[in-house]
Amino acid sequence: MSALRRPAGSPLLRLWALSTVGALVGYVALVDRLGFIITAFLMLCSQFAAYRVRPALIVPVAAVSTLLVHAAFYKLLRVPLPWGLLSGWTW
Amino acid sequence: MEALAAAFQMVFSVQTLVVMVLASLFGLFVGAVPGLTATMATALLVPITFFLPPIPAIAAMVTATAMAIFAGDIPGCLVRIPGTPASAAYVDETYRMTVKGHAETALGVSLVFSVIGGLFGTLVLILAAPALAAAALQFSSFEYFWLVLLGLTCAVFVSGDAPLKGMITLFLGLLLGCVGLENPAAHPRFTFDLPDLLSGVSLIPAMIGLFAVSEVLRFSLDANPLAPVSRQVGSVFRGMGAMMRRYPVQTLRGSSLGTVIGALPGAGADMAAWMSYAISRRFSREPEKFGTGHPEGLVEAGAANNSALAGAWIPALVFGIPGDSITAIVIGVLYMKNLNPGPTIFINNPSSIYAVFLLFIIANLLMLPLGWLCIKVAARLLRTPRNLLMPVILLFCVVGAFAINNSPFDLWILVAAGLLGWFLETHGFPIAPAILGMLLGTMLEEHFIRSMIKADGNLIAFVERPIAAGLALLVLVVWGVSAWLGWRRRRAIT
Repeated sequence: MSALRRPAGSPLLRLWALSTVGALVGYVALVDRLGFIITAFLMLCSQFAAYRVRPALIVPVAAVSTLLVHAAFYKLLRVPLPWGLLSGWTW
Repeated sequence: MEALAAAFQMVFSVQTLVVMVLASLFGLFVGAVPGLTATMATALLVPITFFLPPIPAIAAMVTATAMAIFAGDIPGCLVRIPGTPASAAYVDETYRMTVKGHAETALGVSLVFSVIGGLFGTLVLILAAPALAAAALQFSSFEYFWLVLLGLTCAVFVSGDAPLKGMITLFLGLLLGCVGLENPAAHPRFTFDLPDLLSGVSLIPAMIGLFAVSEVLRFSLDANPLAPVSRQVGSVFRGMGAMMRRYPVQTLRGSSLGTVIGALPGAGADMAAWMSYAISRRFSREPEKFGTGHPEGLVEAGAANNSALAGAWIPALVFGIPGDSITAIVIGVLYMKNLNPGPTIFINNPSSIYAVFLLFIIANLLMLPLGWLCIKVAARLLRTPRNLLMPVILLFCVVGAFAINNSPFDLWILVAAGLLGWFLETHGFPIAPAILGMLLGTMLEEHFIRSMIKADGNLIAFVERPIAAGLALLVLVVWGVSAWLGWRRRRAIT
């Protein structure tokens, strides 16, 4: 399987990879304090920006995705995603 | 006969049918999202069954799980991320087929042969439930020990051209499975005084990390992030008739093995898929094609994991002993609805049993249109540009990993597993055996210790019982033949 993809040596790619790991670790570290909605939104925005998504799409898609995922998992599947800073606005 | 008529009436009521369709959609969603398993789907349906009469309640659970096990194949095929552990056995194969442009064949095989396997398992359930249950009860810890050992051996077969690397990853998985308190002596192993590790390394976050997160990391190193990941998915059903004619033995073998493994308490669809795929490779007339995008293994394993679902109901209905984790939950619901499982249910409540049989048949048939719909939707969703898709997949990963145990520690396991999986894959190590090692390691040890306690430390006891001796012989033959073949191959090269 390693023949399918070989990491190119460009430093930009290394930066992308690090940003992904960084976003993931950042999410895990911050989600309890900031709450799911904020952290997920920030993670998505940073990742979209890193992967050069059209700037006009970044915020709307990140916001919609975050809210959809939150609704599906918190409301439908009853997963207790942390509220964090938004504890006043639980629904 | 009136029982059968009553069963038809119960099953074909509007309420039951509506519940089945809704449960199917739920099951398809849960199966397709990596990190959510069929067992979880069943567990989540339990509160809803409180408000339903018995037959619709069982209908919901049967339908949701059948759909979920099939739907796990979809993301595995299109983005190389298995939706459920059962699909992890052949995720590389299906993905290879997508890369070659045969996504619709892979998905079609998965769909059609899941239905065939499920129907076969249902047929066995209807015809042979009491007899098979009696045979399943002959299995004690000795037999289970050899069976699990056989299952672990399959992991090495699945890794094909690099069996040594497969073994290394398998042992890594076994090591990860050692962590925690869940061993017969209840002694904390490798917990490093962390209370979160007392229950061990959770399988689902590790699996999501090893497969999904490592895939996202690999994407982040990819030079071309904007290319859409899956080609056009054509007609899914085309060529399926030819498949059925070409692989009748595999279909039959996969379905039978799946039903038998499902019928064994504690072994479910996951193990059935793994063993069946390995057996398919071992007995294939074209073993070199495995791993390049070849449907034969999918035919067998796809049939196996759905037939295992039906097989798991055999001990559940006849003895009230769960055949897998899903039926464990369903038995609880059965008791709640006053359908106490056991031999008396066939006498006291035959219409309910007939209804359950009918439900299985309908659920499997429903898979054809609804599964097709799910494939179409998923293919469209997964055709979004990868730079938009991958971060969202990453989000699903973190939520899915959290959802299993609601434990923030599992997120760290996710990260670590993701890095580990990426490292392993980059150096040519197959990840799948690690999952199998984690899955089966605890089982192997438990059965071994239990057997030793029963036998008072006498190792001969492992081959005293006839079935155990037979399985032991099988394991030795498999090991012997593989070693001999490997030695012969080495000789041919030098």
